[in-house]
Amino acid sequence: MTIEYSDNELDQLLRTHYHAAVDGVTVPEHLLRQALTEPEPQRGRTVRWTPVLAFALAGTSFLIILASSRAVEVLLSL
Amino acid sequence: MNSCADEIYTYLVARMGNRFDADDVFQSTFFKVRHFLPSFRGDSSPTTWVMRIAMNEASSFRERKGRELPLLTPGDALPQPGSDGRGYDPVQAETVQDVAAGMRHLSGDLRDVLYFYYYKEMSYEKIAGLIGKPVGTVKSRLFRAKEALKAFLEAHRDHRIQ
Repeated sequence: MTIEYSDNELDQLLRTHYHAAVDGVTVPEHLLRQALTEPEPQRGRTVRWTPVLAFALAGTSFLIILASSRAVEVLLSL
Repeated sequence: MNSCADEIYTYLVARMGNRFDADDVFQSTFFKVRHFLPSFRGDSSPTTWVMRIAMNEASSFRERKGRELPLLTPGDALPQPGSDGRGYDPVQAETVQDVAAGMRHLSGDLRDVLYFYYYKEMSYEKIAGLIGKPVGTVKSRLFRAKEALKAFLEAHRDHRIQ
C-alpha cells in the first residue's frame, strides 16, 4: 500500500517541521560574545608552516640515521 | 545586531540539523564577517551579506565533515499535547519527525530553498537574489526537494505499514 502526499499536505508538513524545529531559537549569549570578541584562530598560519616543519623533521631524521650508520661503520672497521 | 545574529543562528540550526554544528559554523561565520567587514560595500543589506557568508560557511563545513546529527530527537521539539490533550496529532507528529529525517538526505542547496520558502516565506525572486541564482533555479530546486521528500516519506510510511 502506497500513501501519496499531496503538495498541500507536504507544504503543511514542512511548515510544521520548521516551526517545531526552529521557532524561538536564539543565539546563546556566550556564543555571540565569543564570535564577536575572541580573536580568530590562526589556522592559516599553522597550515602554511606544516609542510616546512614536516620536511625539516624528515631531513633531520635522515641526517641522524646517516650519521649513526657512518658511526657504526667506523666502529666496525676498528 | 542581536536580531541579525538570531536570524543567522536560526538558519544555521535548520541548515546544519543540530546545534553543535550550528555553533561551530556560527563562530566561523562571524570570524569571516569581522575579517571582511572593511571590504563590505553596502550593495546588499548587512543581514543578507552575513547570510551569504553563513551559507558558504555551512557548505564548506558540510564538505569538511560528513557527520550529521538529527535536528529532532524523539520527544524534543515535536508538537506536544496541551494539558487537555488537544492540539496534538500523534500521526502528524510522527510524520513531522519523518520530514526531519528526510531533510538529512537533501543537499544543502535544496535545504536552503526549502527553509527560505517555507519558514521565512520569501518570494522566489527574493530567494534568487539571496542565493545568487535565477528564479528558474529556485523553482527547480524547490520541486526537486519536495519530490525527494515525498519519495522518502512514502517509502518510510510503506515500510512502517508493512
